[in-house]
Amino acid sequence: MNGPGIEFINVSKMYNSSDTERTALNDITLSIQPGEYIGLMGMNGSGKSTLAKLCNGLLKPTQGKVYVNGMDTSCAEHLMEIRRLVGMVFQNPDNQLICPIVEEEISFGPENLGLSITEIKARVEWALESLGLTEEKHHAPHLLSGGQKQKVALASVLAMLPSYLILDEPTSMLDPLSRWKLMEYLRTLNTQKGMTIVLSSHNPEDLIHADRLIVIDQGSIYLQGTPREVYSQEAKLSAIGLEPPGIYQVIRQLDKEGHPVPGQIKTIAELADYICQE
Amino acid sequence: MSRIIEVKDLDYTYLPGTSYERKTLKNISFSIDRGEFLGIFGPNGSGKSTLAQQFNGLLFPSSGTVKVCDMDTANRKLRQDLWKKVSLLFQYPEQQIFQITVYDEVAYGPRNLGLNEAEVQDRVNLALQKVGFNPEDIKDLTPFSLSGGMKRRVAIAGMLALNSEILILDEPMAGLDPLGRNLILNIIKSRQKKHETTVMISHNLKEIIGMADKIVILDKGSLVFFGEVKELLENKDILTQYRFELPEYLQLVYALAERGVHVQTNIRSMTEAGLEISKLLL
Repeated sequence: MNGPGIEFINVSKMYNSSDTERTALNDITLSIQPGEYIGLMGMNGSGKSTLAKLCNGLLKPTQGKVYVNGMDTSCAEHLMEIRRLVGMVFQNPDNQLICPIVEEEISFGPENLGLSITEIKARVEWALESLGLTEEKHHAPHLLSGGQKQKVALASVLAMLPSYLILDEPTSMLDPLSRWKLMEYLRTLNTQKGMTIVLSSHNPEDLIHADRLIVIDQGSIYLQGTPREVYSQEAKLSAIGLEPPGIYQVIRQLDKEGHPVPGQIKTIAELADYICQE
Repeated sequence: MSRIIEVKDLDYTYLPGTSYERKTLKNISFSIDRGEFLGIFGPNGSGKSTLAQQFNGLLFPSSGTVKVCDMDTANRKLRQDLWKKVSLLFQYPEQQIFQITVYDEVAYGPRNLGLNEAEVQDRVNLALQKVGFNPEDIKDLTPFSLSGGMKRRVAIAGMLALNSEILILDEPMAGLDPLGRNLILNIIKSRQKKHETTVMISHNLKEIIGMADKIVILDKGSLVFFGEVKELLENKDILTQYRFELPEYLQLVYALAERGVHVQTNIRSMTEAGLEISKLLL
């Protein structure tokens, strides 16, 4: 409870709408270790975004406790430090863009960390370059396209070099090349800078690099394990409306046609080789 | 078949004469026929949304012409008629929701068309069913108590209730779970059957490859590809350059062909692929 990492202890979160109370998360106990890469899956409305917002104290648990490096997110005096440690990229970039110029937007976070001018400049350049935004640096964020805004939002959080990076559907509007680059980039940040990543996505291929997949359904943890462990439980996934990556679907189709495929096959190339042998 | 959207030598410049001036669309020409499903692809910032907004006259050309249902979109006198024929769903449409109940939200458009309340009610019910809701369960709820994915479906119902001839969808699947994505694909499929025209901006070629009639690819405001899916699949350079992912069943068929196996590569669904590969395994 007091060590590094993000700890959820018996966390429930209820939302009050006018006349009904809705439970978004129900008794979640979860620990995220420093340096871990976590993939979050679940249907819309399953509680993924709520879980993400609890990580940096943007939401407070209705019951239970969330600790970041041992600090309780319900205590106001810890919030500054917690938000410095936990960076957050929201689903919709329009919700987090505030400055009139891209470069300013990205430097806003580092400036508030009280860094030196040279350090701020270096971080901004690095973030711009990492996301391929150098050409847009003097443009106005609100005049960019949806996908470009999503990149600006990502860059502005990256520039703060948080210890924990929480990304809620960051690839929803990215083109395939940008999406692939971001996935590679997150992997580098995780393995080389030791940044802890919590990534939610509806695209099962996005999550294959994760150390651990957590599947949320109706506010509870439904399945947990390595991507391979989780994706191989196809019946369980489809029971809650989720799909494993496409290769598993091809294998299922062949099985339907009366051609079962051995369990160790995980890639298209392996599958093609197998069919050639037969 | 008749032309329904005709774009000719289209140029578009944002905020001309200001420091934000930017030439967003350059010399674009293509056309589609009534009943077709057009997919628009391209890197972020390539001009996809700007192009889509030309189709209902929200934006109109700096030079060149855009004709929709034979109406020149630059002609202000035709604007009212154009809006009745073309519905546009923006990115993150759930942000535009503003009515107190789901019913009023979906009824807003039809009421503005001047329909009587009985007709409005029919349209609202049908539209809510099309997006997978039971109207009775949801119509009195406030949209703001719903999850993001459900709100998106309410926004889509609001647009379907207009019964427009042409639907333009700007990344309608962004952030939706598989259930929501399939729902949208099914809506488009049933429109295709009824010979209704749909245009969709997307990043996921995989999802619409089996059903799209035509594909447009933009890059930095220029048209780099226009044609049928079949032609795109033959254009390996473009597929690699933009890193388009093909559906796994196609990847498999291509991988088999590369290994010298005699296999049909002109395949458009998982079922077809399954049958084709079964033939090999017999």
